[in-house]
Amino acid sequence: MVEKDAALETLAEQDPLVIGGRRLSSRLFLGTGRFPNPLVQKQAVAASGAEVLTFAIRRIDLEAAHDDAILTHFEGGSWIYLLNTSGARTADEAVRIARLARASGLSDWIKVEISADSKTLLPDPLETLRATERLVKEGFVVLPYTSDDPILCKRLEEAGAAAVMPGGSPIGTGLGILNPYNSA
Amino acid sequence: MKLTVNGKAVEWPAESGTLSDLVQHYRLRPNLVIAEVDGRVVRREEWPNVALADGMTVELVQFVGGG
Repeated sequence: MVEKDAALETLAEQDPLVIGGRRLSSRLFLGTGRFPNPLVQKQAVAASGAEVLTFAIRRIDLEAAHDDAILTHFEGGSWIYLLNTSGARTADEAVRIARLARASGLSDWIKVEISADSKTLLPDPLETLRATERLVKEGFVVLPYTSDDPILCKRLEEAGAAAVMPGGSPIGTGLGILNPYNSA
Repeated sequence: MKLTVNGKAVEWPAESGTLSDLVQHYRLRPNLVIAEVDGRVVRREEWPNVALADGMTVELVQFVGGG
């Protein structure tokens, strides 16, 4: 384990991952959903070494506002917050969510996530490209989640995406990379 | 005055107030809240200057766990 950690550190120094001008010490991005409790989550985040944490944005339940706001558990840290636009079905909705995210004053990193199908959650590539173009113009650091079509990914890069996040398999299936030749 | 806050009709109990007052009313920590009024995102520093008005629609959102 120690040798592995050392090897990863060497890799990070020799071939760093740079996104949006930020040099990242870890290539792992960690989601923040579905942890059993904040303590386990904090331990997992610390153990992962991830520098980028993803979050979503939702309405506050004003009748249960005493519920823990997730950010209270991350105060004082130096993570990069990557806000997703989950729930968006169109580019317009994704842009709206992105603007809300930026108004937090905490981050302008946006994971564009647009799905027109609530069952499969497969990304809508055309709306994703449209949202990426608009958000890049508004100065966001845009990381679109999209399908694993290499030409589409290239188009997103040309539109100014800071990094493209192609899905290896449908969300929640845990099937890994289904189409390795597209990702090579 | 009548407001719509997070999709629900709310009767604001005073004749006047600001967006800051509204956030305080719900006992939310301002630094963790993001606000939108009538479809326009309002940055935190503007909240004290945004007067509540009859018919106003307010969305108060926050970060939640996600991937």
